Amino acid sequence: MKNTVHVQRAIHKMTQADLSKAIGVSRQTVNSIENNRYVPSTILALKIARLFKVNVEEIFELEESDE
Amino acid sequence: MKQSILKKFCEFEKKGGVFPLLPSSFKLIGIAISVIAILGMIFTYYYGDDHRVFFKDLLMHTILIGLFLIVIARDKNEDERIKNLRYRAFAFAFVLGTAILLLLPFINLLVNGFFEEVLEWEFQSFFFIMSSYLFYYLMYFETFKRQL
Repeated sequence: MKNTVHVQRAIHKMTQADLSKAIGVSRQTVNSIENNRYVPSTILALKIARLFKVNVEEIFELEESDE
Repeated sequence: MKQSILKKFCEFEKKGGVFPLLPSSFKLIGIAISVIAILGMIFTYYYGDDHRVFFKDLLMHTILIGLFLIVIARDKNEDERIKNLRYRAFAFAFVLGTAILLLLPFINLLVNGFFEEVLEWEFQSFFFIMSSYLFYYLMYFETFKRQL
Protein backbone atom coordinates (compact mmCIF):
# COMPACT_ATOMS: atom_id res chain seq x y z
CA MET A 1 0.00 0.00 0.00
CA LYS A 2 1.40 3.38 -0.95
CA ASN A 3 0.43 6.69 0.56
CA THR A 4 0.70 10.41 0.06
CA VAL A 5 0.98 11.41 3.71
CA HIS A 6 4.15 13.41 3.10
CA VAL A 7 2.43 15.33 0.26
CA GLN A 8 -0.59 16.14 2.43
CA ARG A 9 1.71 17.12 5.23
CA ALA A 10 3.56 19.51 2.92
CA ILE A 11 0.27 21.01 1.71
CA HIS A 12 -0.78 21.65 5.30
CA LYS A 13 2.70 22.85 6.22
CA MET A 14 3.07 20.34 9.01
CA THR A 15 6.18 18.64 10.30
CA GLN A 16 6.29 14.95 11.19
CA ALA A 17 6.27 15.99 14.85
CA ASP A 18 3.13 18.13 14.34
CA LEU A 19 1.33 15.28 12.60
CA SER A 20 2.38 12.74 15.21
CA LYS A 21 1.07 14.96 17.99
CA ALA A 22 -2.22 15.56 16.16
CA ILE A 23 -2.96 11.86 15.62
CA GLY A 24 -1.47 10.61 18.89
CA VAL A 25 1.43 8.45 17.73
CA SER A 26 5.22 8.80 17.86
CA ARG A 27 7.22 10.67 15.22
CA GLN A 28 8.96 7.39 14.29
CA THR A 29 5.56 5.89 13.45
CA VAL A 30 4.75 8.80 11.12
CA ASN A 31 8.17 8.35 9.51
CA SER A 32 7.56 4.60 9.10
CA ILE A 33 4.15 5.24 7.49
CA GLU A 34 5.61 7.79 5.07
CA ASN A 35 8.39 5.41 4.05
CA ASN A 36 5.91 2.54 3.53
CA ARG A 37 7.51 0.47 6.29
CA TYR A 38 4.36 0.37 8.39
CA VAL A 39 0.73 0.05 7.30
CA PRO A 40 -1.41 1.98 9.81
CA SER A 41 -4.61 0.58 11.29
CA THR A 42 -7.95 1.66 9.83
CA ILE A 43 -8.52 3.90 12.85
CA LEU A 44 -5.20 5.70 12.35
CA ALA A 45 -5.77 6.00 8.59
CA LEU A 46 -9.19 7.57 9.26
CA LYS A 47 -7.68 9.96 11.80
CA ILE A 48 -5.08 11.08 9.23
CA ALA A 49 -7.76 11.53 6.54
CA ARG A 50 -9.98 13.51 8.91
CA LEU A 51 -7.07 15.75 9.88
CA PHE A 52 -6.28 16.55 6.25
CA LYS A 53 -10.02 16.77 5.40
CA VAL A 54 -9.82 14.29 2.51
CA ASN A 55 -11.07 10.76 1.85
CA VAL A 56 -8.90 7.88 3.04
CA GLU A 57 -8.44 6.68 -0.53
CA GLU A 58 -6.94 10.02 -1.50
CA ILE A 59 -4.11 9.31 0.93
CA PHE A 60 -3.82 5.53 0.94
CA GLU A 61 -3.87 3.52 -2.25
CA LEU A 62 -3.60 -0.22 -2.88
CA GLU A 63 -0.70 -1.44 -4.98
CA GLU A 64 -0.70 -4.36 -7.41
CA SER A 65 1.23 -6.45 -4.91
CA ASP A 66 -1.63 -6.05 -2.38
CA GLU A 67 -4.21 -7.64 -4.69
CA MET B 1 -20.48 -15.31 36.29
CA LYS B 2 -18.24 -17.26 33.92
CA GLN B 3 -19.98 -15.75 30.93
CA SER B 4 -19.50 -12.21 32.16
CA ILE B 5 -15.75 -12.77 32.61
CA LEU B 6 -15.60 -14.15 29.07
CA LYS B 7 -17.63 -11.19 27.82
CA LYS B 8 -15.29 -8.75 29.56
CA PHE B 9 -12.30 -10.54 28.07
CA CYS B 10 -13.88 -10.36 24.61
CA GLU B 11 -14.42 -6.60 25.05
CA PHE B 12 -10.80 -6.28 26.17
CA GLU B 13 -9.61 -8.22 23.11
CA LYS B 14 -11.82 -6.15 20.79
CA LYS B 15 -9.99 -3.04 21.95
CA GLY B 16 -6.74 -4.58 20.80
CA GLY B 17 -6.05 -6.83 23.77
CA VAL B 18 -3.57 -4.50 25.34
CA PHE B 19 -1.37 -6.17 27.93
CA PRO B 20 -1.41 -4.53 31.33
CA LEU B 21 2.11 -3.19 30.85
CA LEU B 22 4.21 -1.59 33.56
CA PRO B 23 5.28 2.09 33.32
CA SER B 24 8.33 2.75 31.13
CA SER B 25 10.52 3.48 34.19
CA PHE B 26 10.42 -0.28 34.95
CA LYS B 27 12.69 -0.81 31.94
CA LEU B 28 15.52 0.93 33.81
CA ILE B 29 14.64 -0.93 37.03
CA GLY B 30 14.78 -4.23 35.10
CA ILE B 31 18.16 -3.36 33.58
CA ALA B 32 19.49 -2.34 37.02
CA ILE B 33 18.25 -5.59 38.63
CA SER B 34 19.82 -7.72 35.85
CA VAL B 35 23.17 -5.88 35.96
CA ILE B 36 23.35 -6.04 39.77
CA ALA B 37 22.50 -9.77 39.65
CA ILE B 38 25.22 -10.41 37.02
CA LEU B 39 27.76 -8.47 39.12
CA GLY B 40 26.60 -10.43 42.17
CA MET B 41 27.18 -13.69 40.31
CA ILE B 42 30.71 -12.64 39.37
CA PHE B 43 31.33 -11.66 43.00
CA THR B 44 30.03 -14.97 44.41
CA TYR B 45 32.06 -16.90 41.82
CA TYR B 46 35.33 -15.44 43.14
CA TYR B 47 34.50 -14.75 46.78
CA GLY B 48 31.63 -17.12 47.49
CA ASP B 49 31.84 -19.63 50.33
CA ASP B 50 29.80 -22.80 51.00
CA HIS B 51 26.55 -21.13 49.90
CA ARG B 52 27.89 -20.39 46.43
CA VAL B 53 25.40 -22.70 44.66
CA PHE B 54 22.43 -21.23 46.55
CA PHE B 55 23.43 -17.67 45.64
CA LYS B 56 24.14 -18.66 42.04
CA ASP B 57 20.60 -20.07 41.65
CA LEU B 58 19.06 -17.09 43.42
CA LEU B 59 20.95 -14.56 41.29
CA MET B 60 20.16 -16.43 38.06
CA HIS B 61 16.50 -16.21 39.00
CA THR B 62 16.93 -12.50 39.73
CA ILE B 63 18.38 -11.98 36.22
CA LEU B 64 15.24 -13.57 34.79
CA ILE B 65 13.03 -11.27 36.89
CA GLY B 66 15.02 -8.26 35.61
CA LEU B 67 14.68 -9.40 31.99
CA PHE B 68 10.95 -9.99 32.46
CA LEU B 69 10.51 -6.45 33.83
CA ILE B 70 12.27 -5.09 30.72
CA VAL B 71 9.92 -7.16 28.52
CA ILE B 72 6.66 -6.01 30.12
CA ALA B 73 7.65 -2.37 30.63
CA ARG B 74 5.84 0.10 28.40
CA ASP B 75 7.93 1.74 25.68
CA LYS B 76 8.54 5.47 25.92
CA ASN B 77 6.46 5.96 22.76
CA GLU B 78 3.93 3.15 23.13
CA ASP B 79 1.62 3.48 20.12
CA GLU B 80 -0.08 1.06 17.73
CA ARG B 81 3.13 0.37 15.77
CA ILE B 82 5.00 -0.58 18.94
CA LYS B 83 2.03 -2.63 20.16
CA ASN B 84 1.96 -4.46 16.83
CA LEU B 85 5.69 -5.06 17.02
CA ARG B 86 5.34 -6.31 20.60
CA TYR B 87 2.89 -9.03 19.55
CA ARG B 88 5.09 -10.03 16.62
CA ALA B 89 8.09 -10.22 18.97
CA PHE B 90 6.08 -12.45 21.37
CA ALA B 91 5.16 -14.75 18.47
CA PHE B 92 8.74 -14.80 17.17
CA ALA B 93 10.16 -15.62 20.60
CA PHE B 94 7.60 -18.39 21.15
CA VAL B 95 8.13 -20.06 17.78
CA LEU B 96 11.94 -19.76 17.71
CA GLY B 97 12.32 -20.71 21.38
CA THR B 98 10.07 -23.77 21.03
CA ALA B 99 11.67 -24.84 17.74
CA ILE B 100 15.16 -24.68 19.23
CA LEU B 101 14.09 -26.56 22.36
CA LEU B 102 12.49 -29.27 20.23
CA LEU B 103 15.53 -29.54 17.95
CA LEU B 104 18.14 -29.60 20.73
CA PRO B 105 17.84 -33.34 21.52
CA PHE B 106 18.48 -34.17 17.86
CA ILE B 107 21.46 -31.81 17.71
CA ASN B 108 22.70 -33.51 20.86
CA LEU B 109 22.25 -36.91 19.20
CA LEU B 110 24.34 -35.82 16.24
CA VAL B 111 27.07 -34.35 18.44
CA ASN B 112 27.31 -37.11 21.05
CA GLY B 113 26.24 -40.03 18.90
CA PHE B 114 23.51 -42.55 19.66
CA PHE B 115 23.05 -44.41 22.97
CA GLU B 116 25.19 -42.04 24.99
CA GLU B 117 23.11 -40.29 27.59
CA VAL B 118 21.25 -38.62 24.77
CA LEU B 119 18.77 -36.51 26.66
CA GLU B 120 20.88 -35.45 29.61
CA TRP B 121 21.97 -32.08 28.48
CA GLU B 122 22.94 -29.71 31.19
CA PHE B 123 21.45 -26.62 29.64
CA GLN B 124 17.94 -28.06 29.56
CA SER B 125 17.22 -26.04 32.65
CA PHE B 126 14.65 -23.52 33.75
CA PHE B 127 17.16 -20.70 33.29
CA PHE B 128 18.11 -21.75 29.77
CA ILE B 129 14.51 -22.05 28.62
CA MET B 130 13.29 -18.83 30.24
CA SER B 131 16.29 -16.72 29.25
CA SER B 132 16.16 -17.90 25.64
CA TYR B 133 12.49 -16.90 25.33
CA LEU B 134 13.11 -13.50 26.94
CA PHE B 135 16.27 -12.95 24.90
CA TYR B 136 14.61 -13.81 21.56
CA TYR B 137 11.79 -11.41 22.41
CA LEU B 138 14.15 -8.55 23.30
CA MET B 139 16.37 -9.25 20.28
CA TYR B 140 13.41 -9.03 17.87
CA PHE B 141 11.73 -6.09 19.58
CA GLU B 142 14.81 -3.89 19.98
CA THR B 143 16.13 -4.67 16.47
CA PHE B 144 12.91 -3.98 14.59
CA LYS B 145 11.81 -1.04 16.72
CA ARG B 146 14.19 1.11 14.71
CA GLN B 147 13.97 -0.79 11.41
CA LEU B 148 10.20 -1.02 10.92
